[in-house]
Amino acid sequence: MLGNEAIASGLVEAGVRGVFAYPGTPSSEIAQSLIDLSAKHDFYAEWSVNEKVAYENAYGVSLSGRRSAVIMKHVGLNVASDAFMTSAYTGTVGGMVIIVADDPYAHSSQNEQDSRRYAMFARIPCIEPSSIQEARDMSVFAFSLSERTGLPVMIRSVTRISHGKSEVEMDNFPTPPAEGSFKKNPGKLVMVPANARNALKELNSKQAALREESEMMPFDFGEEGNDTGIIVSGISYQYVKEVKESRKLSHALLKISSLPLAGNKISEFMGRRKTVLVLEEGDPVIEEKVYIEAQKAGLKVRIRGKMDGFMPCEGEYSIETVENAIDRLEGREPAAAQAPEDLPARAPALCPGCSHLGSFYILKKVFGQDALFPGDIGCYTLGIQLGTIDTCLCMGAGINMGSGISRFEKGKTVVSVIGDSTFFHSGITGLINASYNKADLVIAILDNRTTAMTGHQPHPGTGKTASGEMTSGIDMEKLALACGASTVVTIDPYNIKESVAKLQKVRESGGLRVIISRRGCIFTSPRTADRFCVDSESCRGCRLCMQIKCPAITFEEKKARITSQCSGCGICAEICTFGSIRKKDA
Amino acid sequence: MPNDRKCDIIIAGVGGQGVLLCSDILGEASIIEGLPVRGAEVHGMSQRGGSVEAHARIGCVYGPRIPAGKADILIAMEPLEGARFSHYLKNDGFAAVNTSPIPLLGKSYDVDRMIEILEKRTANIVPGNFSALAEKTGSIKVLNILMLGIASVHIPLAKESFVSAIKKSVKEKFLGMNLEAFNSGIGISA
Repeated sequence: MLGNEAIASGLVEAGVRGVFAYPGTPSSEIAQSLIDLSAKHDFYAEWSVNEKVAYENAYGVSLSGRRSAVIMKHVGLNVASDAFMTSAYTGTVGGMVIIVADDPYAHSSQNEQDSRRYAMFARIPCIEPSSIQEARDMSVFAFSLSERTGLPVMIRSVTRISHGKSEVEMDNFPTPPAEGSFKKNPGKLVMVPANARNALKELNSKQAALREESEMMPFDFGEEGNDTGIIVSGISYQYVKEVKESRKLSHALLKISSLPLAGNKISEFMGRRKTVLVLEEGDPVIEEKVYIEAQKAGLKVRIRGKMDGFMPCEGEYSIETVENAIDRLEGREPAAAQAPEDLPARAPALCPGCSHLGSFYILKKVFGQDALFPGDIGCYTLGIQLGTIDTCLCMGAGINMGSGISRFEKGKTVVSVIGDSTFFHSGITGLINASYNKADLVIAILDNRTTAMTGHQPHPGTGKTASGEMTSGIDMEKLALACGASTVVTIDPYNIKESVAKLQKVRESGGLRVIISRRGCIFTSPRTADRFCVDSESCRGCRLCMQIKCPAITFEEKKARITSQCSGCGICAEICTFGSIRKKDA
Repeated sequence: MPNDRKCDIIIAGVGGQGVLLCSDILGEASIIEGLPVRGAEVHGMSQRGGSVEAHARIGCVYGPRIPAGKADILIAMEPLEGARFSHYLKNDGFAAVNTSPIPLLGKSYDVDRMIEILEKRTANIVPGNFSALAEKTGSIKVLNILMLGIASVHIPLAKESFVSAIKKSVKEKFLGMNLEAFNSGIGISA
């Protein structure tokens, strides 16, 4: 079972009533599994427009006295953080679990931020599984913790938990509590300043109870050993266990699963050691608290970790990281396995026949190499290889950065590129701002009718809900006009010539112009059975077709060739000046 | 075949080649035999035609990632990707290597050098143009199952468990073709 599926099954077992999420790797399969299970187990699950929307919905369910979950990737919590911070003040009624999937090493993300910092910032409990089994068990446990403390509880997953696999045991957990209802309580729920001051006092008064919960945490273990101790959290626990077994080490071990830190447990453990190694992925969150506990208890223990430069502050840990650290701790030269050197990298690329290939070719042709292309987050970020993505910061940033850039880069056309799902997530406010403040900007919405990068989830433009029910699809053209765009032009990125002609006017005019380049993702839309090939007699080797950067086109012996990867979009045939690319005979 | 029924397998390939399905089947087959199993994979950005690695650890009760130099088996669905992850293989480990390259955005590379890197790592290697063989079996899409067949002979799981796992994991329409590919893979190793 995938870690994400294990988390989903835990939430179902705990009797979750409402699930809200925006897709994001490595979290997406949690909500997807829940959506698939929702009809059978009679609970509600949706893809929300963004993480803030998801958070507030889930919080509403909690205030209605029912168990709720909100699921996102780490950077999604930045989007939800406004609601997140103050919901710790106002507190929960029905248990509320926030599942945040961090991405150490940024396998599929724009940064490696550590969500535990957010939990500490908001002063709510955070638990971190060390295995897929624990991820499932914690997903059940978190609800009762939330109900005991009256606070939302964060479960921090990481890529290796979410996208790890193992067999999982399903126990019988107690039946979830009876449902409540929304009870009016303005003094507690309406955060006017006077109420907020009281709410902070209450939140602070809960902290001792939270630390007590950590002292009693059922997922923490200790192992006796020599005077060198290892304090470990998360998936690194597995690495330590494997290294201890394979090398027959006798280090003492303390596995910590929760924040705020169990100070007594930590200082008791450190009191019997000369040296303590702290292992955790991400920031030195536990380590900082370990220093504080050592200071408070007046211990003379040597603390090794990220803060003294002993452990890496970036990327993932692994068995090798742990072996290496133990070797160095004991003054041995670590044996490193050498990866083969200077192999060519294989970067991810847009798929053969991807509509974005056509869109980017058209944008470059119309607006020229000198145009600036502030970009956004999605498959189309891979346009970095085509020179049509100049920035990628966070969801929705492209339009606003473009608006800012265009104010001062007067001689250049600025074309902000954004995907359909990202546009609904956080592009619309940027569009309204650009129109209100009279930006001279082109916004290109690449509408492939799905949230492609994260596994093809529907979004408000698709006219379908998460469970496949029909719903009102948002009309992007009307929306853009209503938000004040001076021109809205829709093109088909497979029709290069027609689109380039249509966009000439857009290029020549000024003001806020919106281009909607619409063609379904090759994975989710019906495809033609056509396949294309190059007539090598007439191919002049001009390399024009290579400019599309389609992975199905290669160049061999001074001629283009189309491989079996072709998916039949025909973009290359349309741009070939010599008519050398044609449909293959069936 | 190791006696303690532990086996670490690394599968390397390019996004779209079916690396993840291959590791799913290994996991399923282990569970059928009642063995603990751990797996690691990466989704999202890395799947779009980029390098893909999956770890499958049969008989493992700890973390999902195989340490470098410890894998018993490498299944390389593409020669460059095989070379890239070759350091995971232990010295006498078994490698099944597809020699048919997938070019890098239209650019070809030196395949022979990749095979040399792999041969330096282990003498226990079965190279071959398995893409061509998969196509002969019916489709390039069964390359993953064909290569799993080659490796299966060295994995401490029964053939029947693999077959049941394949039945659970592939669409019925393609089952015949996949089982044929699996058997022809076994034939190569035998």
